Amino acid sequence: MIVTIVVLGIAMAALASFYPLLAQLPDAEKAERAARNAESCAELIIAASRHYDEDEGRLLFDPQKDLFPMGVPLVNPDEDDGIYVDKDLWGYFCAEDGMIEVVAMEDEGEEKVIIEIGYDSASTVSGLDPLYLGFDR
Amino acid sequence: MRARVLRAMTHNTGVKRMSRQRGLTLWELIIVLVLAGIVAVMAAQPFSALFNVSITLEDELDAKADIAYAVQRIRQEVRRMDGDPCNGAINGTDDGIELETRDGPVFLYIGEETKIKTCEPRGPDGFYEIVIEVDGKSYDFGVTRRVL
Repeated sequence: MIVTIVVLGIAMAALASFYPLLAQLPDAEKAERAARNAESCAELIIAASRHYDEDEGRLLFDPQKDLFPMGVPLVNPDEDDGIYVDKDLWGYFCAEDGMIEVVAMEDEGEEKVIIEIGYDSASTVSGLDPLYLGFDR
Repeated sequence: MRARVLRAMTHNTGVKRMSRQRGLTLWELIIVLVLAGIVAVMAAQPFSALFNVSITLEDELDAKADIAYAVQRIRQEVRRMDGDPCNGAINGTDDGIELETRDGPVFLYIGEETKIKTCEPRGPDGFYEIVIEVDGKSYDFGVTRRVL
């Protein structure tokens, strides 16, 4: 009986001592990747919100560009309006593949569009705080 | 007669032995598990120290923090770069990344052999996808150059 208790106890201790390593590392890796994707997504949206100004001779922020008609990102490259990003790139950084969910909201005065770059609610990184981007209309 | 008595004795002994070989009761099992749990709690800390679990975890998280810092710093520099960042401005080395910034070269120490696997413009103008490889693992990220 005593031998059983000691052997079981040591086996449980050995398992328990490895638990933090097994449990925390994959989650830490996922959280790091999701955070990296969220920022990449923000950068992608910033890039897509600009247009080439011929007078200035450079890319400038375009307030007329409707990145999120009806609150949903437009990723079709054939459309004249919307985000000029192909679906693969958007999917990689800004959608479920990258554990990201993007939602656009308008503020009360409708002079600004606020984009929330949150984390996939079905994944283990859902507890991370979202990123916010604000654009003038 | 003698043989019959002997056979009977053997048979009886066998019956007695069979009845003694019973299993554990639920209470005995619970007591064993509780005591084993207490032993496990007492032994977990020395085991953890023995296998350097917390040190390994800390090392891994430190390495991740170094890479996260390097990614942030690359982003920061690429945003304000005048030229194409993929034109030799970011280079992997034996133990980190060399960056050609506006203010001169900057070295980001990672502690592992680092390669720039991919650096290319993708999607909208000014957006670059960069993939760095550290110790066989790839870390990809996007950044938009603000000055164009």
